[in-house]
Amino acid sequence: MERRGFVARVLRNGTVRAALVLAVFLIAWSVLQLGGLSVFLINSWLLLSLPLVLAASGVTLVIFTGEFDLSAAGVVAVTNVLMATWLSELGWLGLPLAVLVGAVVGLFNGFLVVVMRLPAIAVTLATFIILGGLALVILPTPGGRIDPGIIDFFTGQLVVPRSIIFLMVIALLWLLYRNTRMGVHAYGVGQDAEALRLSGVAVDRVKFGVFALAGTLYGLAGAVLAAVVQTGDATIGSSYLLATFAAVAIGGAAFTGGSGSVLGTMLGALTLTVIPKVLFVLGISGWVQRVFEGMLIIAAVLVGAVATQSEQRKVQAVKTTPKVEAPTVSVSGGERP
Amino acid sequence: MSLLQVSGLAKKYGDAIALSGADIEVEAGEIHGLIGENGAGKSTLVKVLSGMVKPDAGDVTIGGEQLRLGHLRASRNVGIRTAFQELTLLPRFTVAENLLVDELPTQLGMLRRRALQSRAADILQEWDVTDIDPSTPAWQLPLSAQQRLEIVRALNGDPRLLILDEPTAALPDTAWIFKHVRAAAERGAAVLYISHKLAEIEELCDLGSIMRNGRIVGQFTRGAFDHDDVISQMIGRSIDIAFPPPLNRVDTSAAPALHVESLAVGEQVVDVSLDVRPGEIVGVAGLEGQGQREIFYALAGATGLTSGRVSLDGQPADLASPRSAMRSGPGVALVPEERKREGLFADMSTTQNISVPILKSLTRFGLVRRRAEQSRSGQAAEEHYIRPDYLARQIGSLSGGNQQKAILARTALTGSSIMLMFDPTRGIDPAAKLEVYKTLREASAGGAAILFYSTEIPELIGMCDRVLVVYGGSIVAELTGSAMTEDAVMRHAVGKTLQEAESI
Repeated sequence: MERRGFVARVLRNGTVRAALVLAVFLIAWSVLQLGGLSVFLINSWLLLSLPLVLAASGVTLVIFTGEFDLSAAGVVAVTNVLMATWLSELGWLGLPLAVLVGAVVGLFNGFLVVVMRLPAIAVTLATFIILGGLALVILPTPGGRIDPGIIDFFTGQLVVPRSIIFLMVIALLWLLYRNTRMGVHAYGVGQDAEALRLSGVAVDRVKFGVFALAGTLYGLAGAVLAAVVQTGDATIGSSYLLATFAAVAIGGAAFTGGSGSVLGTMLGALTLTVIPKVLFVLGISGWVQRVFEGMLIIAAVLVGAVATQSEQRKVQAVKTTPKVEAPTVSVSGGERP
Repeated sequence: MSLLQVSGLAKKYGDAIALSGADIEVEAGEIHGLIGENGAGKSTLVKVLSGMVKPDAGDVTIGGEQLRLGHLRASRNVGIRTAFQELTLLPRFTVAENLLVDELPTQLGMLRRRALQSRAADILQEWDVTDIDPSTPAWQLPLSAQQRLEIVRALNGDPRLLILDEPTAALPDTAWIFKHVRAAAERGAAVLYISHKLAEIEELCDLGSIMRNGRIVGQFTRGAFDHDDVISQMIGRSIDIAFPPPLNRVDTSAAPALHVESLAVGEQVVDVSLDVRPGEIVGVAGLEGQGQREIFYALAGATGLTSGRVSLDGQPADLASPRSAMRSGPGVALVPEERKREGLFADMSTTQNISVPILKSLTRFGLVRRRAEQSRSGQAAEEHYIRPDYLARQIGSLSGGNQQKAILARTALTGSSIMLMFDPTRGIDPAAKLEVYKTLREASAGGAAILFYSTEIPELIGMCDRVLVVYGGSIVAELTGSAMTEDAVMRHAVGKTLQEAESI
């Protein structure tokens, strides 16, 4: 519609922006890595990304609805240590149970946020803190044992490395979810919950479902993390608090809700795990890495903001829905004090 | 038995009365017009019927059955569909998704995109909307298309009660909507049609009601629609406040302090030109949403202006932000519309609320000198009739009138001599109103140029040297002296042309 260049139009899509960022780092990695990239190197990178991809995808689903969820890191920590301890003797059964724990946490968050109308940031921050503590109670020092069958399931080979297959499955599930009623409505909640409610949609049910689904994904992320690192560690999950949000930011989803794609977040998570590899071959220390990541996030958000500026303005203009119970007029007013 | 029966609806928001015993009946197949001034209670009535607001008292029955009030789904389930004045479209959804959001076609849980598209296309075709592509996101549509989409959504629900709230605000072509509203009525729907535009009501409606002060004050029927009568019933408010007399005479030869030429703001304001001289109070009148808010906010630097020239004391104004507007030449200060949201720091003291613009001059080594703050704020408060014992109190705990006086005191401290007053007396008690009038008089005697918008027309007539009437984003009339009557203002405000208004 607007007479802008092809580049500007392409950059309006957050997933495309995230893909470009990842491509830059992948190219850098392949050029800099001595002896080039091997299947082994790529597989280990993808495997390590897998739990972050899962957790960040869950966070993204919540952010689409205009809410926040800080509990991902807590759920990952708890399910990770559960897999290494109580669930390790159950074999296969451990996996669905860990996922179930995540779902229960999601339901708990959803209950407090949607039914009790408490602020999501406070609620999910609290669940994060509680679960982080619980994880340390369950397993104070790293260790434990992960069921070998589960390790093999996630890390093994099936023509191609399984990590690739799992990433494709996640992408596919997202494409399916996006086309479910709940997936469509979840976008709508983030755009203008009041307007959606006036259109006859049960907004609360959608939000509740999204929190539960996100919790499920965190549970799965914790279990996968246990399989990938092959041990239990209550503190390993804590980096996920920031990393999930960093992945969302690089992935181009709007933190105000209503726009973005899980594909972008997946690419963002992959970027975050490839950055250390690139910096490592450059011989740059781990501390500098954090500085670099922070700057990358600002750059990604900035480019996104500039690219979608005019769109944002027009979108805002449509969102003029009157709020329920908004005071309207006044005919007279009595003197109070 | 009428399809819709509303009896004794009452609703208060704090001290403000929105509805006070509203009764209305609409038969199946009837198109019922509803008109009234700003704040007459129309939109609250719409919100009650749509289930958005629970009234304090009163009953609504649909087809003889009691409607569960304050419940969105209950209203929907009995077949009430509303096209809201403020649209309820989801901006990033496509037209198709917006049309079918509550009944998305799915198969095995998956959305059937193709079916969605084709069903949306069918719906658009059914309602003669041929120029909107169902796959376009709503935000990319022009405002008039968005408005038609909102109306189609209401029509398409096969409503028993169809409510259209200012449906033609952004819709120049009434033929389309009239055709479909009539067809809906022929199918047996009761239609409640709310509009500021008398000509539309006259052409379309079988019967109508006039609303004022939260209740129905008059009725009219097709063929017996007397504009004069309707207008006088719409206003009908008695002037029971004595306005303080002017303290100064406007020097009509003086150069304007505020000069606006061909101002345009988005789609809401088209080509507005006006002048305000030092010591002059110029009134702005208009029904809700005619662009007055955009004019005031653009002049205050709070929103961008699309085009036009604004000069202050003959110098081009810098209206990039409220801060630069205040520092530009003699300075422009705005008293905003929504006192609580836009004007107050509710948890801070009255003193602190007043001193905001001069804080910089009150600081030493970066710290605010509290005693100096108290004395400067106290002085400004005294000049604005605020009792000294309110100064230390949290401003949020004061009455609306005292809050507003504090905002005026703050505005005075900005030192700006161009004041934009957007409905400064809204929702405040009569005593406080009188004090607001007095401070306006004193400010203008001190040489301030004041642009004054009010929803209460008598107030404009009582206080202003001239009144400009806005309609559809431009100034349609300028009234002075004896031509400045409530009747004349309302005639122009409801969109009658100058000749028509004069010929009556």
